[in-house]
Amino acid sequence: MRDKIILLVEDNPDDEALALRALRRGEIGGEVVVAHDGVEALDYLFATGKHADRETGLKPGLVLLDLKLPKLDGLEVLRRMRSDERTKLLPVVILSSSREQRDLVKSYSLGANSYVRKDVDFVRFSQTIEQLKRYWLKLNEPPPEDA
Amino acid sequence: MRRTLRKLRHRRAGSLEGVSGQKPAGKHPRQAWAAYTVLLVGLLLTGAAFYYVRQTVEAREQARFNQDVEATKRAVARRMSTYVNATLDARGLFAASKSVERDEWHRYASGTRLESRYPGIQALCYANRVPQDKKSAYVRSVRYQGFRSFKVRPAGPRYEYFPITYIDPPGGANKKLFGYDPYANPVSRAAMEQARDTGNPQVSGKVNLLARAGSSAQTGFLIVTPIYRKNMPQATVPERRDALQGFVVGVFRTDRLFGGILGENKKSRIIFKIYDGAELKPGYLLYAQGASHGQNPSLSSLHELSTLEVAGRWWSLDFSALPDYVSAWQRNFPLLVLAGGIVLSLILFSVTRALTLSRAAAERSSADLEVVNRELEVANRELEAFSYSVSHDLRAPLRSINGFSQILLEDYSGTLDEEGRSYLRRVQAASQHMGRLIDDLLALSRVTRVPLRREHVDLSALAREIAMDLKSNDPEREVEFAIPDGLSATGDPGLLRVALENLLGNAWKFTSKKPEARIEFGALLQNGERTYFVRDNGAGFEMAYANKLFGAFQRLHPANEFEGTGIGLATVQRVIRRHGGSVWAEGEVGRGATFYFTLRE
Repeated sequence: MRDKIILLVEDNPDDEALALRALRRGEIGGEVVVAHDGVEALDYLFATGKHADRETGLKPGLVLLDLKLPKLDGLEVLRRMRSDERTKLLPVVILSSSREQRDLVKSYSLGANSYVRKDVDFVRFSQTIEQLKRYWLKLNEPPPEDA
Repeated sequence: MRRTLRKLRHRRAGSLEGVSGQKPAGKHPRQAWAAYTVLLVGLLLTGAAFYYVRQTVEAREQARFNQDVEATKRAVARRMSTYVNATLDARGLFAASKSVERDEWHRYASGTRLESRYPGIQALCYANRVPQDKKSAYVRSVRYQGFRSFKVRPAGPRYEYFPITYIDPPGGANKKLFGYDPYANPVSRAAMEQARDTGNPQVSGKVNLLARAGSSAQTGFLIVTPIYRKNMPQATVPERRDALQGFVVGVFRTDRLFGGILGENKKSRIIFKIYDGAELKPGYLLYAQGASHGQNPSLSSLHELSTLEVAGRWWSLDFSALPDYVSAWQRNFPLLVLAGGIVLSLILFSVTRALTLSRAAAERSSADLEVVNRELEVANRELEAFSYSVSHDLRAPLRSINGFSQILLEDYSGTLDEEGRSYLRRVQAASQHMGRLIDDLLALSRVTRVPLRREHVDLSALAREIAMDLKSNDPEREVEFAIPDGLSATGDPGLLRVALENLLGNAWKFTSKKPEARIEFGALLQNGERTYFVRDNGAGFEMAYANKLFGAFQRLHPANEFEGTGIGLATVQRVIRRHGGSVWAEGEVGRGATFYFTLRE
């Protein structure tokens, strides 16, 4: 079984580096694809634009989605994912700096599976990422491929 | 862009103008009109009511006056006919006997009890016709009957004489009538001739009656009734002239005749005058009643002039009401209505005006409030946008600082000495502290921003929940919580949770160095107000600094002793203030602190 792909949508290069470092930890492997804005994320998911030649059969097992993104923000990406058959059931975890009430409400309303706040403390952040990976890629039963 | 700005400024200026009322906008003049309309309608109604009431009062008074006038006229006519009949009765005496002698006359007259039955009669007389050539014989015969001094008055030669021969009552002032020839007086003569020619009783014009010596002449008139010789024809005027034997002459004093005819016991307020003939001149005035009141009847609008025929003569009856004929109350009632109506209208006007003014003021102030509200809303939105971007963006660099310091510590610890590693840990700690500061600041601003809800909140349950969280976050600590059941309040559940979290969290924090920590949450009645408190036996504080506790970033303890941002109590204070309550603290260094708060419920 191939390692599941994690799509990390993150525009901040520092956050990206830290997230990648955290994601590499632990025994659970997994390919990480990074999209730096909302458009790129959707391009990857639907194999359009610069990802047009991507093998479409391959779906990521988890999307880590930042909310504040250039071009298309995270909530809009989520909305489009949920309105498309191909990505409707894909596990999406919002990874955000804020825990503003309206962000939480909107994210869950649009069908986010989880909402996690990026901790300032890197040690705790790394633990959080590790737990997320373990939970979503190992513990959690993903939606069936042909659903 | 600049144009938009100018437009905005312009619009703002316009709205402010409308608000300040310098240029009243649409509604206000209409409201002012309402008051003036009320005044106008009130005055119009008052005018109408005044007019109507006055008409009614006048019509009623006119009707009463007419009634009085009619009654008087009827009374005059009735009384006159009574007296005319009295003279006719006397004629009947002559018709019944061949010739009426003095004794017979007196018997008749005293039998009629003249004075009591006909109080208006001064005298009832018989004037005998004496042709010129028979005058001396006539005088002689009367003197022969015992009246030695009898003579015909006034003296002087005339074609024929009608000396009064019989008088009843004979005494008093009437004595002077004896021998008097009324035919010598033009006024009575005219009546006598008229009566002679028609054969009917005739009322004379005004005569001045001979009065008792010493008193002035009385106004009166005569009713003369012709007596014809029985055996002579009386069908034509010449025949009646030939047949004339004499007259029954009734002498009347008008004051006695008409006295009380208007009902003097009723204290009439009507001036009633009877004139002989059609001309209302003092010379023809027969009788006047009520004229001595000294009031000018011309002030009253009630007048009546009518005519009455009494025994062949026309009288004018002049009635005029005195000003006080209409009672003061009746007279003033329309004025009262007018004054009352005006006063009422003015009151209504001022009330309406006050109402509209206060309403306009209320609208103005509500418009002011709207402006302030809108500005507040804008400020709030800006604050929210600010908080939002703070919560998103301000923490990102902190994550980098903290994260890369951690990476340095993990990957390059070999190349760093202990000092370098400690510096890196300080960097990390600082970034974490700043992260908390940001979180607390956001919480503080959220406390101000979110709309306040008011619901029933079970404070006991809430406090227990928070205590559980504190314990589970720090399981090694032994802290005794005392939280009674049944503490509840009305307020915003989210905000009250924030407040209790901070207070209980502080208590938890400041008891961390006590081996037997005790935290109590409770309520008591202070100055009649329900006061909640959170008490601990922790580090406490100096009361001198009690007022500094609630300022943001104020800390009474060094950071290395008790960590914290200094925002928690500021947040608590905002929550309590938003609930209309107040918060204060008591403490003693080393013995603990108590935080009290009230909620306006």
